[in-house]
Formats: sequence, structure tokens, C-alpha cells
Amino acid sequence: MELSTRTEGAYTVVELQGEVDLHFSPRLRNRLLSELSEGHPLLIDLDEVTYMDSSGIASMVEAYQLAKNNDLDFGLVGVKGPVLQVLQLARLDKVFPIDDTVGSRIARDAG
Amino acid sequence: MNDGTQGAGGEPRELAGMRFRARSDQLFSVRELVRDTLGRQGCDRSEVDGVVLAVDEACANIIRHAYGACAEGDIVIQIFAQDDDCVIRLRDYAEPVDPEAVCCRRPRELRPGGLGMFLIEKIMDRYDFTEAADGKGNVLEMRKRMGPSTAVGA
Repeated sequence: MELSTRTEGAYTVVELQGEVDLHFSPRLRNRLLSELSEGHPLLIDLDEVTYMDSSGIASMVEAYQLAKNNDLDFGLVGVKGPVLQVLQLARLDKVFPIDDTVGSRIARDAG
Repeated sequence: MNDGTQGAGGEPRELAGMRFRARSDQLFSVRELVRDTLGRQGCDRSEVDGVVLAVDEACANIIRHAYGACAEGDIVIQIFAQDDDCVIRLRDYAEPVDPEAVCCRRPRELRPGGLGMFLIEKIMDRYDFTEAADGKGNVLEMRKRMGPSTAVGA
């Protein structure tokens, strides 16, 4: 599992690659909460994620709650395959703000 | 899952198994074992993804709750084919777990955690917790009917 961050527009984009499970999710959780604690609007790019379990979902839920509590923009992009499957199973695919790409989210914000 | 060597009500046939330390860094190998084993049986990819997730969640629950932070031990996974069913058996050597205490939270509210059993229940057709026959640990058996189009002998 790889995690990197970059800046696009007003957003810090946390880009993930590989499989997110109980072994990796504490690192993901820490990074997401750290970025939000510093006041950065956040997008999580899941385009290269090939697997995610409930611990990864829980990290994103916690981050989304922190973002809402701090009035910070938050969203997911590149959701597909097994990640979409687990979000649908958990009935969270309609809860998270989801866009196809970072560009489409930024365009929607500007809309 | 039926490869033509067993009839209706056939005995379970073990396809693969592994014993591993109950640590999160072992989960990748467990997922690979389940993916490879069911993939070789010609199972549908999305169904395999679901079973992989259910097994991962079950193992994570054993690591976090059965053994917890203060105990170490092993988990044994066995994968069986029985008629059109995929059967996964997970055995640990932790203190006995009260099946009534294993909750399945419906995600009616947005909050982190507690989704593992809900996902297992959604994905698998049935699951049963029992105490190990030798009284040392727990056995979780999960079963799922795999689609007929995925049967090797179809």
C-alpha cells in the first residue's frame, strides 16, 4: 500500500495505491486526520486502490465527520471496483461526496 | 464449485488451507490464498471479491477481539467446496467467544467501526460460531453458494 499527497486547487489530495486493510488503515487514519486538523480541504483519490476493508472505510468515515465538524470540504474520487462494492455493501456510497476525478470535483465546486 | 466429482449432499472437499500468526501483516497472504483458490475453481470475480472481504473481516475480528492487544496466537484457515457451496472455516486458539456477544451493526448512522460482522452477514449465506472440539479456541464456519455459471464443471 502506498500513500502520497499533493495539492490541487484548494485541496490536499491523498492518493492511495494498492490494498487498504487493518494493517495499513491506522497510517491512513492518521494522515487524513492530520491533514484535516491543519485545516486542509481533503480529497481521497482511490483510483489505484484494488481492495478496501471496513477498517479503511472507518478511517474515511472518521475523516468525513471531522471535516464536517470543521466545515472543511471533503470527498472521494476514483471510486470503482472492490472499493465501490464495499461502500455499497455498507450503504455508504450515497453518504460520501463522490466525484469521478479531482478535476471534476474542482469543476463542480466552481460550477 | 461442483467439479463433477461429488454429487448432491457430497462431503466437503478441502481445496486449500494455511496456518498463520494472528497479525494484521498476514492478512494480505490470506486474501491471496482465497483469491487464488476460488479463482482456480472458475468462480465469478465479483463473488470471489465478496468472499475475500468476508474472510478478511473475520480474520480482522479474531485479531482485534478474540486475541486482542494482549494475546498472540495462530489462525487456521481451511477452504472447502461442497456441492455448489464455498465453505470457509477459521479456527483460533483464543479464549472462547460468546456468539451472542458478536454484534452485527446495521449502518443506519454514520460512524466509524463495527461494520465487519454486518459485511460478513451481507456477503455470506450463513455463518456459525462454535467452540473448538478440543475446547481450545473458536471455530467460525462461513458458507456461500457460488453462482452456477461459475462452476468448473458447468
